Amino acid sequence: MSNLLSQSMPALAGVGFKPQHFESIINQQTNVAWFEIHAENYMGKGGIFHHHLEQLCLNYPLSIHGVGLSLGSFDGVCDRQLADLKTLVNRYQPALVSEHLSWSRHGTYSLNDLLPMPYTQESLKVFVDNISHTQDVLGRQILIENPSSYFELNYNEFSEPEFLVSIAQLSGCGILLDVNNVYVSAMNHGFDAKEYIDAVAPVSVGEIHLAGHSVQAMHDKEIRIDDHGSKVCDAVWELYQYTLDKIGAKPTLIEWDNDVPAWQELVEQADIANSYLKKIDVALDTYE
Amino acid sequence: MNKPNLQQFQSLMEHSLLSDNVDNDCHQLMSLFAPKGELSDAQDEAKLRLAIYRNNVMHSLTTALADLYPVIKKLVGEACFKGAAIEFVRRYPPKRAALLHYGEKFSEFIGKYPPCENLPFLADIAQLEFNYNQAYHQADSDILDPQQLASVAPEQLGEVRFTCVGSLALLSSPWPIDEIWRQNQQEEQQVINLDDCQAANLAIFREGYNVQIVNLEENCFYLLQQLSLNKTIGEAWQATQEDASNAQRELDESELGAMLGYLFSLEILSAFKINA
Repeated sequence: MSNLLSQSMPALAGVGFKPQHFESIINQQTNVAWFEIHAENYMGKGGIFHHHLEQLCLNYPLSIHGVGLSLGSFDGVCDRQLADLKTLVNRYQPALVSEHLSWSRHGTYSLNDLLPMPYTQESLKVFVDNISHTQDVLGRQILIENPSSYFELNYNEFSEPEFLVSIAQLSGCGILLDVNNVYVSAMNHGFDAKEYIDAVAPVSVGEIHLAGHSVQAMHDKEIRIDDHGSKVCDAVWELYQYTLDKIGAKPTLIEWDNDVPAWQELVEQADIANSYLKKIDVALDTYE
Repeated sequence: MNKPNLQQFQSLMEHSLLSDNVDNDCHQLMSLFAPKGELSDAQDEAKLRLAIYRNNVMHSLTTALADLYPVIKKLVGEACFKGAAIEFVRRYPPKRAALLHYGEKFSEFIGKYPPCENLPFLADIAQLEFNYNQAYHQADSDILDPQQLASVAPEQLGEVRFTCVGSLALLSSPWPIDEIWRQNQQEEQQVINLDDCQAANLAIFREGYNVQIVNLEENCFYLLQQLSLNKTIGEAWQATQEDASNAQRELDESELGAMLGYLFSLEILSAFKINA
């Protein structure tokens, strides 16, 4: 599928846009190279949210990241939700559009969470069909993000990276590689995070996510929760370095959605990501 | 449980996330989790793994409701609000992924929620907050410059129809809900005497990026309601006079000009046309 980018996304650090940071962003010089928004927060028709976005888009490339399309739903994507996403994409012509390897809607209700998929032949077909339909309607390629998860099913027929790589091959979508999610799921399920990274073709990766997570006690073990509420931890920075060495420099987002910090603290996280990115000489493979 | 198909799995999981206790269906779902570590703790561990998703869903949706209904939360207190929100989420999960549309039924729900029965104005406050949120995100509208009406011949003025700004909602209540809402935007509240209070006839709309809540005089509210139904000035004024007469409200013929002038000043009218 051709990629109708009206903007190109630099292989530098961006951050998730929060309305409370708007004045700081507009009034200061920043090394933050681009912004990402959650599509569903901008599905109103007007008002200050869109005013912010219009101003932001004058100076920065944008990534629209959906959390509610539910590409894993057995009964297809919701027409209205997809139409709302298309309206937003047409309005802002973002450099990147992404969604998740998950589901959130069953029939009538939307559960506002990124729920785990069974990794089976049946769900692979559903997922690929739903992505293909979405890409046809939007007229462009989307990226699919690997989720954090807290259980695995005992009847999975694929590992998660096998499933992710297959949907990219079969649908022509790209991959949004969330390094924090790889780490969280690897720790929760006991697989090797680096093997997961190794399984992904560098050329398929269009974006990287980094975020903080929390650790909860579970009996005598620990479970890691992807809550986007703190700084990126050292182990995830280390896995990020490993990822960049494997796949080259890619646009990298700092996600911080809960207990949102002051603008300067978010910028510091982006600066760290930029310092890693700038040590990678060239992008190994241009994302196509 | 045997391997379910995708529809069965999603149905089982949806039920397991919304059910008020960990029932048989939840146990069926948990029996599908791949065991990690010691088999002896497998069941306890599965419960904790499911609980993470149950908490995430409930926490995110009740937090969204608290953000949409801050005044209701303040009026009933945090614990009561949390209980109401959990029950509401279970009964009316969101139908759309964009949560700025969530909670349309919350007004009706909170009005009948037994622990809040002694607060009869609560449903109307919730409706006000819902309208406020919708106005906040509504499409931007042009504002009609009253000078444009100068082009209309005086004898044709009665035939003029207006389009109101897209964000406008009209809400009336026997309770002083605008005053209650305003007091609860402040750190400290003054006592409002409900036995000696003004009813609310509210126009809720966005001016620029800010939502305005204006309590209109009753005749003016009625006139605006008629105009918003796409009636001509002549029809709307006649209906207003009839209603005023039926309800024994005073209304002088000469007041129309002042009322229209006031509505223009609120920037509530977006466009006009004649004879359409």
